[in-house]
Amino acid sequence: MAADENVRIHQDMVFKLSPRRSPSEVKLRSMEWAIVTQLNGEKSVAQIAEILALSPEETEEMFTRLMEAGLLELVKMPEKNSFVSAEFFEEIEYQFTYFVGPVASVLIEDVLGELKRSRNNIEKKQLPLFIELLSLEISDEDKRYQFQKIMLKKLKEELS
Amino acid sequence: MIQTYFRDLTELKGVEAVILYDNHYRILDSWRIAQFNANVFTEMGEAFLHIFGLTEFLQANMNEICIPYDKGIIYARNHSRFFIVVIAKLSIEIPLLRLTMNVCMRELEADRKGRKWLKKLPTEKFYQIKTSALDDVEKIMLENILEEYNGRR
Repeated sequence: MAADENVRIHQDMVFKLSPRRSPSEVKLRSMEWAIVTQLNGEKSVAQIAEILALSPEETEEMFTRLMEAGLLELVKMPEKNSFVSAEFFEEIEYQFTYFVGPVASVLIEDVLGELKRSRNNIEKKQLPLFIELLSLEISDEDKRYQFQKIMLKKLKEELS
Repeated sequence: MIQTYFRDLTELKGVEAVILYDNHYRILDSWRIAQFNANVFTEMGEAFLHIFGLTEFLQANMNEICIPYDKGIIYARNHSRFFIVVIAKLSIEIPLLRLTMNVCMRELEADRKGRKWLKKLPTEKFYQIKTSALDDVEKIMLENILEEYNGRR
């Protein structure tokens, strides 16, 4: 599958090295070389970022550069239903409001901002991190645990 | 114990082994997928005891360690009375693993039988570190840490 150079990088995309161009033909920075060594057609963008301790911005920037240089071949696209549904988002907001009160929607926007996402484009894969970051906004330990417990149950249903 | 209190961990997609150690790095219970080799569990427990023992001694606020390796990740979580290690595939969602661990740990502490069980376990980790098991570099590092710590007091 050839990588469309205009496609935006998603965390669960999987790439391998393109046979059409060698990395030695392109001037790469050391971290881009590190990414190249990790490409095996099995590891996702998120997994490579985790291994190399890259931030989401760095990951997107470097993968985009590698793609534009024609070094990547797309093995797996993210699934179309990989985004969180509006209903589930409402459920999160409802539960979170129960624990933190009316400030919930502001905190949700803050956390979405940290993840560089909005309500419409948060991926299901990011849900656990999103829930975790939200729960850290609950200062009372017991309440935080209750929120995590409820959301863990709902997460399992959503991700299954 | 794992099936009673940490079952949710074993049901997470990508989890390959869960090992529960006491503070003497004795294996209290373990769970693993069939093809997983359990020979390394004791050695791994000792390594994490060294880390958590030092963090306990230095009163460092570090209760989890996540180490990626070529085939997956090793996630270790500390408790004053035990520590638990999870080996999982790279595809595991760490925040989901952490959320699950948080809930399991809390439920263990909230359960009457769980609290009874916890009370019976040894409390300290640091003094279980056997210097005979450390190599020369580790011994020097430990001495330096202790010197620095004593200098700070």
